[in-house]
Amino acid sequence: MATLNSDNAKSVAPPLTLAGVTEAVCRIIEEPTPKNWWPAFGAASTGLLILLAMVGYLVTTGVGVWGLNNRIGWCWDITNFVFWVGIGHAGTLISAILYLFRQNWRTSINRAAEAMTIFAVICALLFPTIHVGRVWVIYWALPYPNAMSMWPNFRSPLLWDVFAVSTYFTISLLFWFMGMIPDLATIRDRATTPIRRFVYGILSFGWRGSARHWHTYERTYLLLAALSTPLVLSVHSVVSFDFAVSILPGWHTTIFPPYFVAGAIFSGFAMVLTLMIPCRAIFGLKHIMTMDHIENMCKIILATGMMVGYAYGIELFTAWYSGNEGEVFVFTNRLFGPYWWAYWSMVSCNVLAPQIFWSRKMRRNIPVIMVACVLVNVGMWFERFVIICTGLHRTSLPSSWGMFYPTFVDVFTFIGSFGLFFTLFLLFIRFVPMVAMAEIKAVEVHHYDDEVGHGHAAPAAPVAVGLASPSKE
Amino acid sequence: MSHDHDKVEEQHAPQLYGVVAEFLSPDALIAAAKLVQDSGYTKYECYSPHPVHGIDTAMKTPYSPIPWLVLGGGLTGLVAAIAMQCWMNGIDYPYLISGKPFFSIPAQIPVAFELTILLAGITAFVGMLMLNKLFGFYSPLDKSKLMRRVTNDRYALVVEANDPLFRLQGTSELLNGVGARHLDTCYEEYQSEEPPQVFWQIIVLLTVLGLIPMALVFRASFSTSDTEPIRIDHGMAYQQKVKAQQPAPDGIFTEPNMNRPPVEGTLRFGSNVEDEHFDKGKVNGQFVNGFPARLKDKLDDKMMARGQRQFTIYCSVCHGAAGYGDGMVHRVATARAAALDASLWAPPKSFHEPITGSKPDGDIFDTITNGKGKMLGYGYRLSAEDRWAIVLYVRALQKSQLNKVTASPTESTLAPTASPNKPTSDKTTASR
Repeated sequence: MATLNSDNAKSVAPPLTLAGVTEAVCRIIEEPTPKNWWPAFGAASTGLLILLAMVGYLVTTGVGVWGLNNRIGWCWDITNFVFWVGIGHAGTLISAILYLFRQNWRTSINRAAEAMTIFAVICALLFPTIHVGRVWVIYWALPYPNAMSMWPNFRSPLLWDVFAVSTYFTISLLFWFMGMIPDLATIRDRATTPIRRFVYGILSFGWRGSARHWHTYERTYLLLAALSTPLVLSVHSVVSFDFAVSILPGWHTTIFPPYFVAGAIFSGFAMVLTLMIPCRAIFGLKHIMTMDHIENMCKIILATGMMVGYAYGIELFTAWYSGNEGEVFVFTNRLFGPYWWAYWSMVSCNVLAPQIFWSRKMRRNIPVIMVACVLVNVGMWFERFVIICTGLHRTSLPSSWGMFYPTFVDVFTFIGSFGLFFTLFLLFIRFVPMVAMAEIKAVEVHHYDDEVGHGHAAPAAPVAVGLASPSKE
Repeated sequence: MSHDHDKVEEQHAPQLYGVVAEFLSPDALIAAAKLVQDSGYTKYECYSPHPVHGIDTAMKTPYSPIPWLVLGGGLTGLVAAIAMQCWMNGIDYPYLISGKPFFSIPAQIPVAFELTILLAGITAFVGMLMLNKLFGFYSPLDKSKLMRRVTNDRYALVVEANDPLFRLQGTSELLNGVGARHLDTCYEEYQSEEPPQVFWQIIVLLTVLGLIPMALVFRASFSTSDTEPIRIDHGMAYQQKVKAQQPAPDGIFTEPNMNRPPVEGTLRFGSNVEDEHFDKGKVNGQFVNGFPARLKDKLDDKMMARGQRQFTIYCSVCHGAAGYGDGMVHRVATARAAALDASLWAPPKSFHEPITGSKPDGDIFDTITNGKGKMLGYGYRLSAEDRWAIVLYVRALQKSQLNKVTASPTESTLAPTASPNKPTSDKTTASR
């Protein structure tokens, strides 16, 4: 409880200063690698190696190594894809939409959330890529002039997906990198070794913080935010078209785009909190990522959780109200069929668990938040599993009903994707400023050195010594 | 002070680049920028660790053209996406998907939207780098310790020495007067040595070497070759293939041939001949007249009606309702063949010609089963009993038209199983 008290005692905390922000953030990169980083990195990179082994086995053998069968042609692969894409929504939402709404609290978490977005989208891109089977000709999905004189079918939602997810990845990456340029310049200027100075010098493109540069930079940042806002809403809509444009009962529904987007924001925020709560404690960033920020995120999780719950309800209502036998069957089967446990896990994790955030006390209770967020992540995986697997395993032809049983390759590929994600995230923490320093300085810092006693106290300060001789540094 | 400056000039290097003034808060920087701007300086710049709001007005910075660039990028993406989809799926290779139109804007919206955002976003990023002339990895300011703190916690204003109004003393006093906490000077270090000659030689050599692969690719695009291309992935088009009746490659099957024997407990289609007369219309390999013995008790009105029904469905379209070979298919085909001035159409046979009429029942059954000439075999579509029912009906048709044909099957045709039929009902059907 000591940590909680210190979190809550906001008024006692010293005000943020420019140098204080720089020090708190750069220290994480400049200090020697913390001892507990290595075991974490070891575990994560082991997961990554498992992923590589599983993908290698899959590519050399064929998608038959997964538990897919003639009835259930999509299962864990696409579940994992939608799960990771969903997680990848929080970053851009925080960077873009909250920026447009001038929610200044977002500055403490936006960098890490954007990084999380990019890594999650990398994990997401992996699954559809390997599930096509002959992955070495995946480039056939792109419209390029070829000897076969063939073009991709632009009326297929699967192709829209290729465009949507790769555009999202590219724009998120640009947005993330652009936000980082001034901070990389800070690290360059603090660098003590020539290699560090060189590498961060290249990465920061020679940024020097000129006012005219800031002018263009800010306009561009605003434009990128404005472009990313519809993009972030469109990506999961397009992902939902993979299902909604088909004519399968349980998939063919117009509620899918908004329902998927709400779910994506929901899972993304839960994942941001799952990652950021340990980070701020380990790296001493509690004064930057404050309890108020966490509370705001809990409120968003509560709100989007309610939207998701509403969508679950409306799905059931629509099935009943439509009077369509197929729809009614699908949803009865979903609730009470062989996969009932997946459905009810989803409802308890996604609808019931976030209800705890109605209480302000719980919104500021770190262990409770952690448990709720992990539950939300689990529940959102189940949501996609329920949609995909129960949508496919029983259709109107009872002779072709089936069940999905994952193989060890399914399981370890999924576990391995977490390895990939955490490997990238741990590298990010070590080498890149985890908090957007320049943005914090612009909106959260209100105390400057000249207000605390020294500075231009003597109006007729002598001309500085520096003028006397050329600097030979 | 001044003699130091002179000494520097005597040495010709380094040359003064400008004066750096340090400030501690954004407000102080804005005030200084305003004064420097109003004093008429043009070559000066402010530096800060974060965007300072209000400094653009103080410095009278012209509005950035970046929105127009982004708009252009976005529109390019939009137009390119729609044009690309129309051309690829509608013109160059028209894809017919479930009868949907080739040019359907609604289906093109997702890709058009994504490409609009993609191109606008890339334009924004690259435009920002270009407009700001980033990639300037060297600046004389980098030597200033003060400038290194600008990305941390200091604000700086730099007046360049090549500004027409710049006077070291006067400018410094101006900056001190507006509250600069500290002043620093920056010197430009000349690096005027030409790169060594060998540098250019290497550049030329690398350029020439780099052109060789391009030239080879260019040449290859105009030349032909008989040799098999080197394939990294053979794909499905080049996979191993074995035809039936050929020996199987080692290790595939235990049997030597690619033909698979029937799975245990199954029969090949048509191999289950239990009753040669009933299944093939033959006895000892010869077509026979008369109906098989197992149908003996069934040759009645019911079977005749069945035969009539199946005949009407399967046979009458070509052979005509009365069996004169004048069905609808024949009439349409004849008309079309005439229109095309072609004689491709082999007309269906009439049942009332001597050659058809004198065939044994087994032969007619075999024709129905396996087809003949252009006629399709109906063995897979109709059960053997139905085919015999058709034979029965055909015989009845032939009898009904007896007075119109020269040679007719004798009464003995039906003799072996001799069941009297009812030509009256057939006649009405046939004359329809």
